[in-house]
Amino acid sequence: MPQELADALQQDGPIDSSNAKGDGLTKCPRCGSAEIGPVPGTDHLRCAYCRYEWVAANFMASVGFDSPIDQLHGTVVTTGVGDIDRNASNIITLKCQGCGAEVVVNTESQLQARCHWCRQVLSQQTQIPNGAVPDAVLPFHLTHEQAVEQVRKFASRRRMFALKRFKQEFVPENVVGVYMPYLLVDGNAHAKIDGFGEIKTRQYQRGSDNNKTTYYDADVYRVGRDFDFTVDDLTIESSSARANQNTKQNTNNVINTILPFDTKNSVAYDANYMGSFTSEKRDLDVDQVMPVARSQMLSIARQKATETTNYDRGIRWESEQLELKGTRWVSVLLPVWLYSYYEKKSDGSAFLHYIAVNGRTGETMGSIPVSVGKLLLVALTLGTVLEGVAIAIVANF
Amino acid sequence: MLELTIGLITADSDWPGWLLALGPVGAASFYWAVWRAYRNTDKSHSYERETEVVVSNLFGEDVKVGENNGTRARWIQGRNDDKPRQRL
Repeated sequence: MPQELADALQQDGPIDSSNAKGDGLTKCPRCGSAEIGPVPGTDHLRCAYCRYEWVAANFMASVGFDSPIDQLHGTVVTTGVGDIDRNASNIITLKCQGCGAEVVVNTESQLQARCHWCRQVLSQQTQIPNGAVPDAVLPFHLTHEQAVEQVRKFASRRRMFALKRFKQEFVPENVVGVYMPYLLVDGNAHAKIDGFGEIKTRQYQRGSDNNKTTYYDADVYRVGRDFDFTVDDLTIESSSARANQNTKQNTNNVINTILPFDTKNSVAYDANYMGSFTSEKRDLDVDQVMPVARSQMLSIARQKATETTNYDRGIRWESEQLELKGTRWVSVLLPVWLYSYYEKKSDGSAFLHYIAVNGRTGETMGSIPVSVGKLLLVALTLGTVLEGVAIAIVANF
Repeated sequence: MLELTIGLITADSDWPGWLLALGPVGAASFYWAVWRAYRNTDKSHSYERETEVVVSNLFGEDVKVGENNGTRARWIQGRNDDKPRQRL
């Protein structure tokens, strides 16, 4: 793309990723019914009335976000990542075009509702300034049965020391599908990393037979790496609650662990992909997650710099610089199967454990509450046995 | 930590007294390993390795600036090439 054109495009403000479907009834393009839902295991939507199936357009291609990242300059955003209006209500009232009734939707967890009078499904399709409606969505591929199986497998490998109540109340069928909000960022950057590395030249031992010490000789090198790099679809939590990954307070880190998703296959948002799934709402703006993106890109740069070196005694990096030439941002909802368990601790506090399953790849990670008493008992028993053996050896020496 | 403990105890004699640490160290290691396998508090998405990245125009400098002879340290002092998330 010529520079002039790129600049002109950028000055036009955010790229329009809204859709023209309109709120309320979304109708089947063939028969006009509003009974549309996702087809499990595929990216398709299906009309429940005439069985017609179709798929929403690939999002990245539809807004030109598949263009080369190394030509990216400035901050390119879509309308779907627009700044959140803190005063915007999460409660939206949709007027049913079928019967005229007004139906309330709490967009914090839902983007569709059924009209309680005429039973038609109403959708929130327009991007609203509370961050609930994304640019794109990645439909669930893993079915509920497959998710149940993954959760069961994960927990059954960790039965022995699991909390008794957790085992008694374990019902993997209670796993629920949730669309989690993320920001995808492409970055065009330059990095300069400097430090020192050492290569071993000799290794030898000194001292008497029973008291030998190993010594090393090494050459010291000044190491510098200077390079351009592009990052494609770095995935960052855009809900402040999920972005907090303090493992002393929560188990959000297990949801982070099941990344990455095949975000290239995201389709343009359509509320009909929600089906029976719930959704969480984005509440972080691009400016707020920019420091996280920068830090992650710097970590990537450090990793890449290290990969180009070969120092057998390691490297001590002493300085790192990142120049972020361009970024582009997309808000997406990504599919996660979540099994949750509230652990009530003896001190009265509660702790929420998750087992999370990636709704596309099936990657599973979780936190199982541990029966501390039982684990302590076994650990101490093991320690006592080992100590007994040790004492026997020492005494007979 | 474990290495350090064993190192301290083994430092000065051929008497196998360090074996006495086997009980406490074994118990603590077992507790820690099981707890971590259940709670997975150390896990997170390794974006440094799993993100699609293209590097170009790479310039490198590797200049010998001196020697570090007769050291007892196995690794360079302050090694951090294995900790890309630690900010400098």
